[in-house]
Amino acid sequence: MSAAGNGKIPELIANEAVTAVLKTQWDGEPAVRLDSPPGAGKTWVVERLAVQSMELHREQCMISTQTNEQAFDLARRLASGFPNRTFHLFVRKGLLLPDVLNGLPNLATIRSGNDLPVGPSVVISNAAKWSWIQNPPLFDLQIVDEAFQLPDYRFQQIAGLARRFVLVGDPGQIPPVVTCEIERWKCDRAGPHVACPKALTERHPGVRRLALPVSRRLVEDTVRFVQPAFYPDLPFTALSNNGGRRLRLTTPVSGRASADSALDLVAKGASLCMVELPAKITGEVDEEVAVTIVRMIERLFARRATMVEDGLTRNLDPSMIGIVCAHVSQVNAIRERLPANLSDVFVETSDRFQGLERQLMFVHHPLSGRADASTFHLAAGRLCVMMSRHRVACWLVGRTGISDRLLRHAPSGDRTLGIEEDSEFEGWRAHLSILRKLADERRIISVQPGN
Amino acid sequence: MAGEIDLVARLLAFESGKALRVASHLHVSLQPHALVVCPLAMAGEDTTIHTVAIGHVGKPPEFRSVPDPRFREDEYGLFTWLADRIVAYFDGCRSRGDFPQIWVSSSPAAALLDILADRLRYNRDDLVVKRFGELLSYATERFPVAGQQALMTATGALRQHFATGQQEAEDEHLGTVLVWIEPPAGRNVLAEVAATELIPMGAKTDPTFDRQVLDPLVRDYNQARRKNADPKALARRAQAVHDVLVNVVRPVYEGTQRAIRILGRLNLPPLPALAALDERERDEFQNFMQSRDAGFHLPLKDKPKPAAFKLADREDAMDNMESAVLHEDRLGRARARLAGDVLRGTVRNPRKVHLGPWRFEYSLEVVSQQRVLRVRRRDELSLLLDTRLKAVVTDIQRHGRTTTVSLRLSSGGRAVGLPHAGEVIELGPGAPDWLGIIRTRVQMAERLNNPPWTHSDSGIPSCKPQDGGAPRDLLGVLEGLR
Repeated sequence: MSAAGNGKIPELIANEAVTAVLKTQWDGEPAVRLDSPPGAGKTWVVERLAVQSMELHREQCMISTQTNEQAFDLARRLASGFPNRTFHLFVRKGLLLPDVLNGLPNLATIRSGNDLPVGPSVVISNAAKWSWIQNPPLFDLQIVDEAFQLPDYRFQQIAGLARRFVLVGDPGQIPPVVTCEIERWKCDRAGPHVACPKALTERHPGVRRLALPVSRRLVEDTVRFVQPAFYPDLPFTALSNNGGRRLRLTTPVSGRASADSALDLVAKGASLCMVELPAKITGEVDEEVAVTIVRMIERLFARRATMVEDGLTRNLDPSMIGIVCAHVSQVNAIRERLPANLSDVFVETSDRFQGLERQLMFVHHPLSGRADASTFHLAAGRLCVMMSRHRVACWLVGRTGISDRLLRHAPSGDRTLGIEEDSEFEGWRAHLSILRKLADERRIISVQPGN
Repeated sequence: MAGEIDLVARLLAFESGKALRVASHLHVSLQPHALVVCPLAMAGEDTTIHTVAIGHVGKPPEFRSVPDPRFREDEYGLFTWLADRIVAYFDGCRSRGDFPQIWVSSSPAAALLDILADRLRYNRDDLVVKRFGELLSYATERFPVAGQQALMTATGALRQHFATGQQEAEDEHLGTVLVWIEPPAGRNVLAEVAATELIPMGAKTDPTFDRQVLDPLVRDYNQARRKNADPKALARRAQAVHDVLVNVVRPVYEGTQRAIRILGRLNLPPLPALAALDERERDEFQNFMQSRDAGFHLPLKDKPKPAAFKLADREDAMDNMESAVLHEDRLGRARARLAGDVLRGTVRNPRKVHLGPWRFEYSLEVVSQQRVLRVRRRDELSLLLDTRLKAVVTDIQRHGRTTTVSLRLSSGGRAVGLPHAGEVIELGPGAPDWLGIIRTRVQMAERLNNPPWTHSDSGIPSCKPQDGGAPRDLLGVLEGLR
């Protein structure tokens, strides 16, 4: 089920959930795990938790992000969203900051732990930087943003820096990246490689758990696909109904290319559909898929697409479009085919697309053109990230035959006694359920290369 | 894309019928005193050793078997015999300030040693066997750490240096890998590989051999034992089991020795990183032995704190090893170039701008035709030719197949100098930082001296509510702070 909230309007449900999260800090909860579906406003909640801590509770608050880029984004949002408050960004010496941050008068940059502010404050830094700080003060509150990307052994190194914690993240996305061998801890549900919110609640089941029940980014039509496939244990609904956001194709064209059918399907209200090229084993780089994606984007502009979002109509701009791939080589294959006038189309891998959104998304299907289905390509988190970046519509582009390959897939059987999670099966199930639903609803459009 | 080099190498090996060398340097430290250990478990009894061949590099093996490892006394006799050799070897290494190195044929043999180490090191009845399990644990616990030199698999070591003409999974059979590396003259390599595959090279005997040869002999021994046969008759039957097992384990031992010889005969310059890896191994071994002397327990399951240290060690080792191979091995560099981890291109617009007294800003562009590039704004890259020169990526522009990366030097402008226009350079990750893990351990030790409640058994602290209640319209109050 995707609905949450027993018939209440989504805006109300969303606000009640956020208020409940904020109130945990008035109750002095030592730790809160906040699970959030994609686009539910995690960062928005983090901002409010931080400001509440600094201004209403007069506390020292630290925010841990996973990357510098996330720290920059959060610092920018806080400083521009609360222009009358001062925030601190803690970064290493010599790190180049984005120009946009240098122009924010209420954002102070700290390069040394000795310069940390005293008294009520909000300091933003990445987890690695926090783990190296010398003689740190004891913060009142630590907010960990994108906490499901932080392995527990790294959280442990910063957990002693604060009295209370709020771990905010999306449990359905790509798990923490740990590249070394972890066989030793495979049976440990609170092992050092496990995402820190899961490890924390495994060790301390009494830790307060809350969830955000409304996605502000995804429309209801997408939630119907994404929620059952990737979040069977986290019911949520959409803030925007299907009619609230849509694509309009204003120019009728003659002699339509076959890819136009997929564009028309979205214009008629589908927020998700799949474009299939004839079956072919291509390996990582599939030039025909790359060409098809670029061609579809060109068709959107040729047909003078406009975007209707919450009552506002805007002409389509390349910066409203994103393309997400599983591999860097696929990203490059697409980038090199994008004409100069489409250079603002954002093309990235799923790992780098986490936390980002665009109005329209094109997904190079991770299993397309492959002879096998490896754990990497089957990963439910990867597909979930890919299929949950769009505000209006998403096209999956790939080769015919993925479902058949999934049905023939022989699982490695690499399961562990005592560990309920079976990532291979979960990925397999999610992939298959999405494809079946798309097929059931006739949202799979066959195209020929070059059309 | 990086896999393309290995794929092409495999195809070339297949075409030529001979393995292709895929390393410019030797990646393993060949210890002249290393010990080759080839254990075979009994089918269905994965925590046993039915027979073992053991000997130093270049030396003939000693064999030891038990007629039936299910008899605990016999099995422990074998463990004690093995313990004598392992303890003597480890003690010798320790007294020389060196580290031990154990070679096995392949991953299944390493896994068997791992199981035995886990099983035996908690033994309360037999201190010799317990010691054997503990010492074995040194090698088996080091095994998953990248760049370790304590427990080597012959297949793994060969795979680092050769590409065969078979699938990757098939490279776990030592016999077939050796056939690809040294194919018999005048014979079809594929036919030879197919024949060799029938010869066990791991940690188990062949099922047909078990059924037709081994099982009848073991049954015969057990029957005689049950009937209290006289010692000579029993010994004769035990010898029969031993003889057939030796025929199975001898080729495994010889294959492992041959693999070491092949690596030695390559006469490749050692990867410069090997000196640091040897040093690390010595330190690890000395620390391990001191911990045993001090009576510290080897845990089966880690608590959060030691788990964090171990995982940090492994991540650091992995990063350093990748970096070492990228910097020090030409094939490793080529893989990184294809994977886009190394930026290779022509220097354009090198500029030195005077900012003030003794202050300059150095910048340049690198124009690359690489298909894959994993370079993002704000990444810091090092000049691979001289890693003192570091540069931060300030912009990336892609036009068709040409990528222009703009960089600003962050260090090395004076010491190394700004590259010249038209020069082809390579930029990538920094050199390995072998001392980094020491700093990490010190920092972690300090930080985790008092484990946070989140990672201890102390329970969740009680709630301490804020003074005064929350405002009724909390969201509204926060919006008002904008």
